[in-house]
Amino acid sequence: MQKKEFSSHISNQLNRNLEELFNHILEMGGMVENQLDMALSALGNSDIKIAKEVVRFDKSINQAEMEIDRLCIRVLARQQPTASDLRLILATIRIAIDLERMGDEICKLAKLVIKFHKNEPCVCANYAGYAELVDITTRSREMLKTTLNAFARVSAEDAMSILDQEEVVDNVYAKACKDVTEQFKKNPENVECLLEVMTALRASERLSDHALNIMESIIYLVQGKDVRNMDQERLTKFLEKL
Amino acid sequence: MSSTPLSRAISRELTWVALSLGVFLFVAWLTGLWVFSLLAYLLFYLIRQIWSLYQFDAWFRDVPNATAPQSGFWQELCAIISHKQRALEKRADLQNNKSEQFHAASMALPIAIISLTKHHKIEWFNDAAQTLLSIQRSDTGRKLETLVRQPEFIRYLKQKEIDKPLFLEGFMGQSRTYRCEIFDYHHGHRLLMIEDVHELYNLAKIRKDFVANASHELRTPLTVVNGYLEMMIDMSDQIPQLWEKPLGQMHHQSLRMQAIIEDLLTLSRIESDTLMNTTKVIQVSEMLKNIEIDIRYLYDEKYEIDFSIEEGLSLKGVEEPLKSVFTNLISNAFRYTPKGGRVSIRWYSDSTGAHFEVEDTGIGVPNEFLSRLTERFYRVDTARSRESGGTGLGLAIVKHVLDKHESELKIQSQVGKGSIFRCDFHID
Repeated sequence: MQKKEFSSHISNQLNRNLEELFNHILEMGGMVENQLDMALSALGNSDIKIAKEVVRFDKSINQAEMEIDRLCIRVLARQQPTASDLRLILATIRIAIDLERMGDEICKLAKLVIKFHKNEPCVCANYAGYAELVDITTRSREMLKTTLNAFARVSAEDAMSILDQEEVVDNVYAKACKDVTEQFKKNPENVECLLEVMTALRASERLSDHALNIMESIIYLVQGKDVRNMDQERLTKFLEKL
Repeated sequence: MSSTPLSRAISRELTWVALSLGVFLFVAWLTGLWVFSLLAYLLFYLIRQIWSLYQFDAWFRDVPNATAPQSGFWQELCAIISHKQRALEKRADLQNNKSEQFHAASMALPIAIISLTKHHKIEWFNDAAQTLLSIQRSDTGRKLETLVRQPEFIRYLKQKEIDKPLFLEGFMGQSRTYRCEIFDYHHGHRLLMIEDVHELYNLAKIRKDFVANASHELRTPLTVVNGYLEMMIDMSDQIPQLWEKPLGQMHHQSLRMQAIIEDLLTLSRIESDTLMNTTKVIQVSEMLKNIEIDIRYLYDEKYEIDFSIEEGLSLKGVEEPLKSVFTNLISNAFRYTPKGGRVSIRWYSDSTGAHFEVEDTGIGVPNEFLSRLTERFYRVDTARSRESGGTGLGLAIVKHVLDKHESELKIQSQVGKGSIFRCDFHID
């Protein structure tokens, strides 16, 4: 699908609604990106003020998701779109869900900063797995940006790079898990803090998964092909064809 | 006047007609077939014109190997047209060259520039924008907010009337400060400029912090010096007379220094907003009446003072800074007005809003200095100002406070005659 403008329909209303939907999802994406940026800076500087703002910001993301749902329902009920338009609606709903989940995961990251600050004013950077946490979060941030740009350009060309990044993230995550487990054995007195790090690590790893999900939705939108259940080999082949 | 190309063409055609007609008439006279000859001549003339028209058409449409018609006025006509066309082509070339040059210049600018349509669709952008926003040539026609998704930026973009630039800290994943500004231009198009102002921004911050910290640190030692000086002056009977005058001067100067530091601190507090965050409705007429009492107590004997205050006219703002605006302007008027002069203070409202005005019959300010008056430590006449005891910061404070109240200081002045300082406030 090469869709640059929503002006191919006789119904002006449908054009307008679809475009509005398209812009809304990207605006919501921008909010999540912003939240992730804030969370990253909170993590980096152990800044509790920004961390609290991140948690507060989640509400407006949830509202944005509801707004997108409402728009989707309206288009479905009134205009009964077909083909690529229907795919756009389906992809939009899925992407909105993924974005909202990302918002929740980002909140978990921010809560780590808040909890560490409450327990004892220690620098979180001293804990095992912390460097990996920041690394994974930064990579997820890049992945999110790439996917949203791909959505804005309605092209799935960058899907491969996302896949590569996801692999790197998985490796880093595995290494971080190993480190944290070792620390569990060595310093049993730090269990609470290490558990928090573990939760945050999982959250940041989920972030990259959601970014990948969004990319899958985009491929579905552009190519009309569902790649969710493809195994690695078939997926790579399919993407190389793009 | 020498003949124009067209009149030349007509005369040429007429000559040709006369000659050819002569030939035909001669033939008719020889043969005696007058009517037939005349018809034949008309037919011949018609065919010649149609043939020329056909030739002209081919030449005009740039058919290869076609030549311009050579007969009669057609030749002149073609000459005129080709002349005109060459001139047009030359001009078009020039224009093209100019627009290409302009394009190249905008590409080379270090500031990111993007041209948008009314609906924020990207029209064109320069290289700096391409790197900063990571957009591609193929993105032309896409909405900008789908690619630059920062919520703050989108909010700025969606504003109907944009009057001030937006400062973004951390933009497109870079932790630098950017200044964005949007201008309307050329029938509903919009021009977005994004500039990296990180260094400038930091510099301003450092300057502010430095002034605030330095003045704060200077205040304590000065208080000590001042205290001891006062003590020494109080015990003047135990101190040699030689030291009386120096001590007095030291005390005077240290008080002056203290005043400067107080003003500097006020200024930096206003700048950093700590003073300005609670606005409420202020009864300005009450405030001015209190000021009037003080002023009359100080100056009533030496000056003619005229207060006219509109009852009950209030303003939304911050009380303390606003009061310092009024007292600064009023005391300036007295400071620069010779004794016996007149100072009138007015607080009134009209259809454009509320106004505070101080008019004096003082020494006035030369026009070329007016724009610099609100700079810190700026003096028109250095020697005189020190004498009169000002700190050099009064008008700077006034300007900053008025900025925060979305108001402006207007100055009218005539050297030797006097000045009018006026603040215009909006009232809802």
